[in-house]
Amino acid sequence: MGETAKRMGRPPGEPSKVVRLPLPVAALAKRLAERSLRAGDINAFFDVEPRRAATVPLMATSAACGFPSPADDYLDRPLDFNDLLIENPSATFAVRIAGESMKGAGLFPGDIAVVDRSRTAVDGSIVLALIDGEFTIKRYRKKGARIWLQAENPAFANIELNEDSGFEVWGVIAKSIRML
Amino acid sequence: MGRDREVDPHALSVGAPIALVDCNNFYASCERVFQPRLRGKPVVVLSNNDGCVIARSNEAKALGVEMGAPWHLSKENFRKAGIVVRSSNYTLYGDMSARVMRVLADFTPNLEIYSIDEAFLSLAGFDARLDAHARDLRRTVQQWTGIPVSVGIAPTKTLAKVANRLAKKDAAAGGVCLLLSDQAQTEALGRLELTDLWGIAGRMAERLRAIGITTPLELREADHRLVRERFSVVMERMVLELRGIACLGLEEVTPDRKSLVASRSFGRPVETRRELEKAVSVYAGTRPAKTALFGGSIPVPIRP
Repeated sequence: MGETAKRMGRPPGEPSKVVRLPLPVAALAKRLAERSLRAGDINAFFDVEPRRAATVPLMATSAACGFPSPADDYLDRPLDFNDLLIENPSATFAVRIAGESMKGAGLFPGDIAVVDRSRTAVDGSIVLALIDGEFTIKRYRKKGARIWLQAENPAFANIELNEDSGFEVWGVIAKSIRML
Repeated sequence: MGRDREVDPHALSVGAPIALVDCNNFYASCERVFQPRLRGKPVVVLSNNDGCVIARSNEAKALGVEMGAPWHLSKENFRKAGIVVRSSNYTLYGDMSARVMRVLADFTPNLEIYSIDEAFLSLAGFDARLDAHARDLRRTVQQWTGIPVSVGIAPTKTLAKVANRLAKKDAAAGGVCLLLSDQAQTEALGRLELTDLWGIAGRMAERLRAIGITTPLELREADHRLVRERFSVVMERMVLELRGIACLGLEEVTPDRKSLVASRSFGRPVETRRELEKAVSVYAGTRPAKTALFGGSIPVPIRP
């Protein structure tokens, strides 16, 4: 193994330094063929366009919880949920809501929060925060030097934050998807 | 041996600065983004059948965990040392890599994705504010994706690799290292071994030593034509690249990816040759795609 490793030009070291390529091989082979790439080209690993292009027609009027008039021209332009929900794809993550502390803000258990890490939290933002390594979703409040996290449910107390709180904003909740 | 006076004066004017951006302990860092409790703790990531260690956080490296350490032999030691062990999640790492690369694409007109966690960026036109640009890039990747990266900037890819290494090693560098002046390059190369250089493995280092080239600085000073005659045009380029003369453009270099290694560990001791052959052939038979990709011949190294 040591000799083989040397011949193949890997860095020197103990024979036990086995390196593994993290590639699902069947999918890789398919992409290599599709894109005429050389075997082993790392670019095959990436789905260049992972988003699906499914769009749905968007009603041009807003529905006041009634049935829109069939006469409405319904096509403004097709609605792409990705465009609607994701402003900055590199910085956007999704997390499922657990617990009822944010009910008042319309975030219910089982809903999906869309988190944008590129946004900066300001007073009033809903944030995915870290407190001592644990995730929580709360409203971020800041008045002068005082910072606290506020639940949107009277059953939950505010969380006052100080330097020892191990507090950090992981990302700002930009949207939520309500599961009915 | 003096440096080649014909070529040297052009060294700094040839080519735009190139940055190598490398994600720090990438797989371990990906795990930490979504498991913040793992921050500051020694973390290792195992290969996809939990066979061996394929990524280590700095804390795990400091505890002496070796790359490739077999899990079934290390389990007890890891537990005692409080090392957190994660199974690999390549879907996640692929997604995080794509995010990092997309952010990097905003910082350069010319990006070469070199591996899942490394990319070269041409920084032509940014000369006046390279340091600020690099720090901005680093901060943005960290904020948007949660992944810490190191940035090495130099006139050539080979020197950018060296710069990146120093950006990682030197805590005071703040994750960014520029090797733009001859003086800075000389000082940096003086701290390295031959095998620390990009593309020089042990065997090549031995051959270089045989003709009296024992350090990166000696290699840089060597007669590049002689190096071409004795070795190859690839090594000649290495000499020129060390002098700051860019020979490797973006996307030109491809690392040796002609080999794919798949390792499997046995769950129990295999004692007869027959049993071993059977296991290997059954495994190889389940991987026709792999065999087809690489033209049929598969070397099978085996170790106890």
